[in-house]
Amino acid sequence: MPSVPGEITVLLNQWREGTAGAFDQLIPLVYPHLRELAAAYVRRERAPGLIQPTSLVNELYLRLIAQKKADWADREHFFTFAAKVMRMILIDNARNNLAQRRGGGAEHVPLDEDIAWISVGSLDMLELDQGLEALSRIDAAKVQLIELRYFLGCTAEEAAEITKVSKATVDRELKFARSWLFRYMDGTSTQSTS
Amino acid sequence: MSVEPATLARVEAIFHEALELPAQQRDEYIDRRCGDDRALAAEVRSLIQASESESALGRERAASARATRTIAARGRRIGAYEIDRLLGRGGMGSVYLAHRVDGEFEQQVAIKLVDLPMASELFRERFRVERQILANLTHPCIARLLDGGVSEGGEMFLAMEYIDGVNIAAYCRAHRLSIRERITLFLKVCGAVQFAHQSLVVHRDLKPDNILIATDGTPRLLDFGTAKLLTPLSGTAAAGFTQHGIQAFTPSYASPEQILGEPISTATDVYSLGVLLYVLLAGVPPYSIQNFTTGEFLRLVCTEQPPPPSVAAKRAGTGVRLDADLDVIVLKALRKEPQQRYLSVEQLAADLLAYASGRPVAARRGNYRYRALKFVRRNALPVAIASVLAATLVLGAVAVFWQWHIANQQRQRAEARSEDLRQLSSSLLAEIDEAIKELPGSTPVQRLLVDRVLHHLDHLAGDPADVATTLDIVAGYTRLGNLQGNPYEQNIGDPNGGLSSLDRAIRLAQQLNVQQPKDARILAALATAEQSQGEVLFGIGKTQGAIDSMRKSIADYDARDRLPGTGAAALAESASAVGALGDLLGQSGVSSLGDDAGAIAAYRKALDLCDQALRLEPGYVRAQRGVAIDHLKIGNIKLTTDPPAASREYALSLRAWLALPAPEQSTISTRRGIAQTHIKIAAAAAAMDEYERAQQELELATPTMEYLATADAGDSRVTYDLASFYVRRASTYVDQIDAATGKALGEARPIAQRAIDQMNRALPLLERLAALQPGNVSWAANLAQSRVTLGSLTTRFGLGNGSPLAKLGMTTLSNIARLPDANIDVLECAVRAGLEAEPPELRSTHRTVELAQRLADATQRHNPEHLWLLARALRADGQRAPAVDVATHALGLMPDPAADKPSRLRRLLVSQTQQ
Repeated sequence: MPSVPGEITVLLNQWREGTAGAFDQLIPLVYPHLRELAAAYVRRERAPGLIQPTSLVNELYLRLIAQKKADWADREHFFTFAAKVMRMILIDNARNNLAQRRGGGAEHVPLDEDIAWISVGSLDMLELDQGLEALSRIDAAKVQLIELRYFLGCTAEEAAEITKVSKATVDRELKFARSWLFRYMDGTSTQSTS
Repeated sequence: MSVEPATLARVEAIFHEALELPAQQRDEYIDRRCGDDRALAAEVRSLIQASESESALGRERAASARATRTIAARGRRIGAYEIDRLLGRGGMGSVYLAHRVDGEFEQQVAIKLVDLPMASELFRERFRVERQILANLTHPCIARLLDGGVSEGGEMFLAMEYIDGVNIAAYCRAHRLSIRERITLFLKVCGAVQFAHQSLVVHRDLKPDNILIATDGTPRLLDFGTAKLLTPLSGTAAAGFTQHGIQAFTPSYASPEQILGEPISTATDVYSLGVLLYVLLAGVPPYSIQNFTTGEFLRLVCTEQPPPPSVAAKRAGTGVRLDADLDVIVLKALRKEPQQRYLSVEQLAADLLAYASGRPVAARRGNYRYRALKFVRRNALPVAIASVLAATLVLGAVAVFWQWHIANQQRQRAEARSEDLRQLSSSLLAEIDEAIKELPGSTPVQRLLVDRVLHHLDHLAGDPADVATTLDIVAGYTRLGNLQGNPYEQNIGDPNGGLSSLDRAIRLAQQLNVQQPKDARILAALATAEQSQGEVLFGIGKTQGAIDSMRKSIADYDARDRLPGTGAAALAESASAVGALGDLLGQSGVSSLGDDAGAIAAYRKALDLCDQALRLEPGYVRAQRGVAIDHLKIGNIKLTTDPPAASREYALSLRAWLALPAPEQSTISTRRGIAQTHIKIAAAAAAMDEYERAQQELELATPTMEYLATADAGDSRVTYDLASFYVRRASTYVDQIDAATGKALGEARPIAQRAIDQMNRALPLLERLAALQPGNVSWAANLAQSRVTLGSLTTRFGLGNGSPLAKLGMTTLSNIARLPDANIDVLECAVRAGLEAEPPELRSTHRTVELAQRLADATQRHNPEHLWLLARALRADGQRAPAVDVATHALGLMPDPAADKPSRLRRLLVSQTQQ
């Protein structure tokens, strides 16, 4: 992530304490990264109709501002939060997208190369959201990793740094979580544990 | 649908283990691991099946998406070009093969679409100018920039000559070029770079991918100057967004100055050419990125000399023999300091040519002196740059924020001084100290940065300055001092250096204070520096000095608070300083002074300040939280010795928490505070044998504790908190059973079952944590003790065979407690387990006494609870008289009992004083 952590932490604290201008200074620090990943969802080659990167990020900021009261302990907290917000945005976007052009043969744009069977802006996203809800009830840590890795666009290393576990753990947890979600969304759940 | 977390953990473990195996062995393995649990086996199998379908479908979809993208892009118009296909994707955008369609002439081009946010007008203007310069760069070995501009869609694009070729490193390998042939090829590259340098264009991103060998065998350099072109300009700072630009470079080939964010010059290209030459000769890069995080890698590039190419080639087993002259040439190009490298590409090329023709090599001269010169002794960097270094190292960012103070350097010094230096000290020092703290284990770099900052501050402090600037310098010294040696913060372990910085801060602040005794800002700065001094002194065992400093600090805060116009925020700040003194004196931490009375007095004073603040500004959140926290801390001090008094404090704390305005109540930190308070109230109730009430309070805390663990599940600390919480609930049930002596086993059993239920919740969490951080002995000890507890409870109440589990825990504990540096957590776990383990043959009374002695010593024989454990251990070992002595000593530490209700610990101790 191209950002200056110390500065972000300082600014987050200032922002929380109501220092004028702190949020404005925060934006340029996190904006490029967020926009970069927003652009990754919405590649320019894509057919029109999907959300545009800039509006995606602007929306994220609007929601961040709405959450001004949130109590961010540190930058890790900020990024996990941002990941969650990004998830909300993309899910809402998929919902609107589907409402607008029902059944239209949408182009397949993977949420991430690593989880390419999920297509951005499609029904997949809504099912994924439900799957994540279900998964969060038994293992919220995995959901957090998925948000960081696939919604905020962190690399596995970055997700590991943010959640303070090893990269190997992140890879393992994600592998399991993907399988779990796949089974959930595939509707072939054979879970018998109560 | 719902799965217990414990089950999930098992499923997950077997899932991963099975996936490690070849497919045909999995079934058998799953059966073996799951035993009779058919449901478990079915669950694992279905997930493994899902995993296989998931990866297969993922691969298929990813491939089809890539294909679609390429097709979708085809035919798109960008300026005068039409896109044919995607060539590649880079950090700043995608590159396409395209052809010209405006009919003028047929030409294949490579189009780079630049993905830059919110390009300002000024940036576009510069883009245009620089593009013109690059377009004029004509050399047979440089791919020309043909065109560029803004597409109809608003994206910026560059059109370059399309080169159909192979990257230089791959070419050398494929054609098995000899060393001499490689050098000849490299010299052609040097010629092209030298040509560009004469036109004042620096490449900035030289690497094999940018040097293609065309079919006729000539090298062609791509992307000349594009890196600079794509860096937003400083002049637009007013736009807010462009205060920082993004500097793109490739870590493996980036020079130290690029990583450090220093000015880029032709020497930067000399360095990258050095890396290229290294790769061409040795077959491996000078620094291997494989084994490091990007952050570590970048640090390495800035601090460590690479091995000579000859050594690297030998290690890599390439079979190539390089002689010493080539080593010195390459290493001279790779020096950290730009001015120590070859002064120009021409000189590098000349030396290589000399080598090739057997003449003496210039790099040999002065080599020894170079080695004696340390990187550290380079010209001092501006603070801003140092902070970029720190930031880069921390995040391992590939794109680095470029502080525009570099541009400022070129401004008039006088102008820079008044404005920028103020900014430096106020904002950048704040940043640098955050950034340095987070540098992972790189003390030399941290020290280097600290030296730089110190040097900078000393320089500033030497000149006369106005009050505001001097205050900034005071703040700078204070922050630096904390960074050097404040044990309460992450520090670089140099307390003496820290004290000297803090001395300077205090001296400067005192001088100001003499001139203007009634300036609130000065008093606050002085108080802050003194508080830090106290903390550093405390850290090195100078307790009395620490307390003196803290008291001075508080006196200065007092003086400040007496000034007219002191606001609620200032009072709350003073309150937190006084609270810090309280923590130092007596909070039940590991390293406090054990001055409980002094601590309580400090907290009372802090409470008083908070009250004043609240009178000035009713509902002021920070003060209100202060009230809640200070009562909680007073309660904590009184908990072991005087539970009824603690109980009263906790009730006040709870009242303060609940008086916070509604939005505050829903924040995570407040919810955590409220839950903690309930837990403490429960502890006080249990200490007074009021178990029903204790369980009620714990019940109140349960939803929040569980919520916190899920809300912030990535944070291992909250998981640990939740596990400890379950353990606490279990132990409260056990205490309840123990207190009701004489009751029949049948009556105790349901309560024991509840305790076991709680332990069964805690155990999987603790297992997960222990697996997460195998090196964390406190977690390992907690897990082991919990196993002993669960196993022993099961055995003791005849609810099953707990013996193997308890034995497992005992073995672990005995191993980690044996270590000489076992901490208080470990010792306490081991002692408790040693006292309670069932069946009795698991206990070694002698060994438990030994551990209990260490535990009591670790808390200076001041902690009655630990002394009680020691007394029990002694008694169990048959040493009655010493047990009585210890218990008597412990009782002496406790205040006179409240007439109606002696605390549980007191009663337990009294029973230990009986022969």
